[in-house]
Amino acid sequence: MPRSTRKGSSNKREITPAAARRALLRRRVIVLFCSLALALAVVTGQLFSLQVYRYPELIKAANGQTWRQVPSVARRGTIYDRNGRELAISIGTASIYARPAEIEDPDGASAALAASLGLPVKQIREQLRSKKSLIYIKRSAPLEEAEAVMRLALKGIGFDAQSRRFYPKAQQAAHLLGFVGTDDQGLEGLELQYDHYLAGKRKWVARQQDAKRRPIFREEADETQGADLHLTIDEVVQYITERELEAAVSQSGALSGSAIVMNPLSGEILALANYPTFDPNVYTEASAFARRNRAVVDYYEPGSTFKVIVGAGALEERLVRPEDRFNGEGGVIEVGGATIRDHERFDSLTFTEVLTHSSNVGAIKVGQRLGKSHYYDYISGFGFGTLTKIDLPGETPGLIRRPKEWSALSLASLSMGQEISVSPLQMLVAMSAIANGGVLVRPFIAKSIVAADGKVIRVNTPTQIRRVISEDTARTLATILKGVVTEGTGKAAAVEGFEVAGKTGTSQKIDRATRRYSRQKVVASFVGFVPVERPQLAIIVMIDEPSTLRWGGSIAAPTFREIARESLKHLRRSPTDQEPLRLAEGIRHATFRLD
Amino acid sequence: MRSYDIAALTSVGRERAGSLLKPRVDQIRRFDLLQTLLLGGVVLIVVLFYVWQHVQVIRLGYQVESLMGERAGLLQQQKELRVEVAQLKSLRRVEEMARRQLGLTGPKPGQVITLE
Repeated sequence: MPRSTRKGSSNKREITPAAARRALLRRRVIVLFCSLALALAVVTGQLFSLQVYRYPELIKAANGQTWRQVPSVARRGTIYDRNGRELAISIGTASIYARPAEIEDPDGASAALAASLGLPVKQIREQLRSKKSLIYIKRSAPLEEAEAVMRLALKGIGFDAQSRRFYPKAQQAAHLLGFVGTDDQGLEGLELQYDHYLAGKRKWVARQQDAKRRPIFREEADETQGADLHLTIDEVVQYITERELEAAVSQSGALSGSAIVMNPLSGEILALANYPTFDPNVYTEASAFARRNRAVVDYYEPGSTFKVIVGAGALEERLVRPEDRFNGEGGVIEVGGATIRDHERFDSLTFTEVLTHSSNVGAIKVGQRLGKSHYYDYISGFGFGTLTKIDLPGETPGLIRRPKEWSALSLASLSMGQEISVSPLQMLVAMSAIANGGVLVRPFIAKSIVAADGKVIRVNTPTQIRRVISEDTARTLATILKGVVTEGTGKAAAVEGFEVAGKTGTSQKIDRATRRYSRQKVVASFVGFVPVERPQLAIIVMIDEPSTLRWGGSIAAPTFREIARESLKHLRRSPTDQEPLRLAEGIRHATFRLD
Repeated sequence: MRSYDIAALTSVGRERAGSLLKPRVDQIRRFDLLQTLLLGGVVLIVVLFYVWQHVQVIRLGYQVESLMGERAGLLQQQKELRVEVAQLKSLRRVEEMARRQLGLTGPKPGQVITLE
């Protein structure tokens, strides 16, 4: 504004329009500034309140909404046979659950769920109308089904990631593998025995999610998968054993049967089978009898196969020689007020013939020569009455009474395998001691346990329990038992091209009604090893209550032959194999004697 | 004595002085403004970078989750295929197929020759 205008201006009302506009603009700027300053102050105050004053409380609430603790999936380790073939695998599944209170349209939701899960609509509708806070719609559902339900985006439906055990070979090795429960815990067999290693460790991991519950970040969980179990079992030998056992049980119309194949030098179990068997994938559909691992947990009277033990003791104590003769008494003998008969009339037999022809009278006379005390020592020494300590649950030690509890008949009964109960496994371990040169070995099934990261956690190695007979005695006995197959009761066990040693047994069962030995119910068995000089396989076949082919030599021995022949073929063993017999070292003779 | 209009002189002086100082003041103001704008720009870039970083982290988080889901799915598929392979390799099934569909039988004794 020019100074001249101000000079003569005494009237303030003479304000130019431009000045007035500027003044107005200035006021407006001031008002706007003040408003903005006030707004800024409010925002700053709010910011201070949120970021400083209420920070701890708000960050806790925010984390509570965005971070969730979710369980990681604890997957069980895989079980493999000795050649790395899968016998039990865990695969991912999801359990689908509902919170009925949160379901807005139970009818619509149940129809949609039923279509996705293949379940009856009525059943789901009832579940969704339940007053429970949480109900499982379907447990262990395949992931495809869970994904289908997830796509429905139903409110009040949740998922729980789990794993499901699957046995791809169904019945194969079912009694060995056992099975797991709904919560993936081992209930039977190796699944139970090694549950601690196989079970994965379930951990809680933090997961950040957005408003739509979509995961943004997840903490890296530590390894939650269980360790893998590598077995001594050979899938092919196992299959052969199961196939032949099933055929024998069916052919003879038997109640059941058991068979075990073992490496007599190391104690490694190559196959273990029971028939009837079951499918561990649907174990609830099988009876308790079918699920029981009868080869290990049940016992039976071994009958004539037990004559091997009395013979081993008498030979070891040098009380008999193979060529020593015994009076066969015409096949009948009176002991302790009881009359015991042979299956045929023998007038005179050598010790070798007592075993090859399975003479009861001869075995009783050998037992009498050995005496109660020595015989009991050898029974105990061969592991009867104690656990073999195989790595399977529920093993039976069998039944054996001490000599002071024996009656006048007991020594005679025990000499022909009565008044004692043993498991098929115990009988096989005892025969293996004869096969391997006189050393009792511990049978085992798990070869190694390997963690998910490949680290070997545990290795089971062959364990020698004790020497029970000398190598000479074992060799003599093996030669005699070879005679059982070449010219005795076990001719049907002969395998072409191989020398087989073994012993037949046909024992009468106790009739529970009469409490006497039954004439109809018997247990037919054969236990032996092959080849005699360089034993590769020790096998026992036990057929319970066959209705036809009732003799050990007529049903168990041929089954032994088929298992041995096919297994040797699979293991590529030829009659000319020159692998040396590995004998136990550092174990002194007769260290097993009991007081 | 000459009389001067002091007021007029002062006004003129001011105007003259003002006309001399004005470019300098404007320059300083421009510089200040430029400085302020630059500072504001840097602050804005830092803030935007910070926000972008956060957005990127979240975006990558979604990607990682998605890839982890994909990986889990593939591992699951692999497991299921292993189960299927194991099922198909079941010796019972293979033998049944060999006997029934292909008419094969096991070799009889004497038909097997072991080559040393």
